[in-house]
Amino acid sequence: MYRYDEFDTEFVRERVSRFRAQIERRVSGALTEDEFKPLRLQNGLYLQLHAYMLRVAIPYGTLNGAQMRQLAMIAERWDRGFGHFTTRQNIQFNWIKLRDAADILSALADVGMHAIQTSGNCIRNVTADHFSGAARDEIEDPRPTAELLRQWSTDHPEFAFLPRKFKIAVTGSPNDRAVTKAHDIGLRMQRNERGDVGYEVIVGGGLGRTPIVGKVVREFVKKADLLTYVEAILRVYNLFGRRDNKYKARIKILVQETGLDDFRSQVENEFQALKSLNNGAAVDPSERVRIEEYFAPPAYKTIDETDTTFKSALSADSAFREWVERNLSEHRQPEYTIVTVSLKSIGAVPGDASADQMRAVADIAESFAHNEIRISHEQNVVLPHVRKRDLPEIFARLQQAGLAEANVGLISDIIACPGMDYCALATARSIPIAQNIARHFSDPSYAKTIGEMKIKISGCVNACGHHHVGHIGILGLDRGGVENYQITLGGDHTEAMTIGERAGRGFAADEVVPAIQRLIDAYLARRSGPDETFLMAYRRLGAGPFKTALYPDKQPLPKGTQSECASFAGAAG
Amino acid sequence: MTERCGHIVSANDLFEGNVVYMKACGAWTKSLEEAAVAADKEAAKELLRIAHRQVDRVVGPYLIAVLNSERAIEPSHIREKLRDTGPSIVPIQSSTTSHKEREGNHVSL
Repeated sequence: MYRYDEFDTEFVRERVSRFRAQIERRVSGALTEDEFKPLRLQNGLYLQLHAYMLRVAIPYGTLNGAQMRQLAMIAERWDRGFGHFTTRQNIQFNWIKLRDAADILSALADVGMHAIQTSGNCIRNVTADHFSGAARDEIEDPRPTAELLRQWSTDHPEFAFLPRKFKIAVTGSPNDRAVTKAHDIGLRMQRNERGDVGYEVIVGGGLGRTPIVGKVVREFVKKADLLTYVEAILRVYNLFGRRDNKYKARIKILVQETGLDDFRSQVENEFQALKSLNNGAAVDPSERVRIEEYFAPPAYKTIDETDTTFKSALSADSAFREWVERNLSEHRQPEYTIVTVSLKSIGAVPGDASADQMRAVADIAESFAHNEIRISHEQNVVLPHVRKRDLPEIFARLQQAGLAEANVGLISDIIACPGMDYCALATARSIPIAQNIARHFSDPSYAKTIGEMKIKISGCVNACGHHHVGHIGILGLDRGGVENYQITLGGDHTEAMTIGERAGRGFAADEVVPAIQRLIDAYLARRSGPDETFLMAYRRLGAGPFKTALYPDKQPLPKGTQSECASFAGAAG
Repeated sequence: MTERCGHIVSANDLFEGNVVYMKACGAWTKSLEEAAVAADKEAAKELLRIAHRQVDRVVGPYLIAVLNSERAIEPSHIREKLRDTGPSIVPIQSSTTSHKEREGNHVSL
């Protein structure tokens, strides 16, 4: 993985020292809160409901053991012993004190981490496929591209005050695990007809108040042209993006209002102009090679064909067998596998990990997984390079740490934003809803019968919990001071991204679990067989039977009719 | 039996980030029960004016509506109830999390 060079180290240290001085000036009264707020946000320090929250960047979701151990230390020393992994592959500490913030940033810098550009109207932490560098379906590791973008966008003076925040995601696989179509720019690596690797560029995707599936603005951009093309998009956005209305300031609105073809022409004009300035290549190829070398595959260990450790454990231990069946994914090396460590044990807070658990993961990564850890946008931890023979030992250690839940991709593997338990923007709680659903469907055999299910929960229209693209999405709203939950159906976060359809009126908090049960009952009763997932059944059957299940006492509203709760989303814009 | 009884001023402590409430003397307290209650609009405005003069100690003072209740006063909105009592969930525990923190972490609504 990428290691800071002298420039990176000095840059981050300088930022810490500058922020320390800014805090001192705020405390002394030399800076007002209005002056200080943008400075603290540029360093990832938010003020939430109960305390300051520090959002730490985990570039493209990649960590090593030492970094994870440092996060554990920070959680214990300066927080309450835990951290929250987010849908943007970051970690948030919820109980930070202002006077500790600079010391925490300094501790992060010790392990090559920071909180820069985790807030504000700038290019945010670049995210990537959490299986990158390991997945069998991968064309090429997307992380060198993400790292290149990180270096280019960090403190970029031209793009420090964009109309609104800007998120870029990269995938190197045709199976999109990075939700690229819900990003301001999504990059999908692919080969052209000559076999060269480049990028399909998707623009103007996003969830939030106005969910829009990103559109292909260019089918193929050569590697050498990537930064120039991305710069061209950002220049057009910076120039024409709306600054008069925060809710219409994202690039998705610009693309929608301009029209894709006109937007594309503007970008192409800017691209050609930049190319003539840059002589056609913004990046020195040797610099790309230098970055790529940091992401070279690990030295895979030789396989002992006679070793039966894995197979013996499979036949001897049913819990291990269940976990293997649910939590592993195909690795490009046949004797290796990718382990997803679920942070969704039944009744737990989705995405939360204690300091002990972080250290347990760090130990396992260092001992068995080539010292590599990933954080997924689904709020789980991934060990991307694991020898199958080591799985029994890893499973035993995960069991000890309370991290061995065999539920990846099942109904209890729920994405949930922090919601009103922590977040200052939230209009309802998300976490208790997720916990109640997970507890209700805690029977492993029933969960397995239901099969693949993505429930995603947001506590406000900003959609940090990706509810629009959940097979079942849940959106918490404030209805006259009372929490109310809208359900959307049929969303999909993959390369076939679909925005879920709002089912109808919302539900009180205690009505959500029964409503989900009715949806599951309707699905199980109507599916063509165990191989037809909820999403497949929804697509085949349409919304009708599911709406009838949700609202058994009345006929569903005709399509296009404003539901009772539409005003909430309408206000959201 | 609850009924609206007025407004109090809340903010976050500048240094700690904690939720705080303004007392009648203009000092800040973590205890909602100790907050000064303004019975009418003018009194609420005056409380807020006093709070805004203390922006070297607190961040973002604002008015919240409170109700009379069995515990003297309580916020009328769930957001403010959560700010008062803390998250409604039990966070995951680390072996080094103190007993005090565990107790302080969880309040059921």
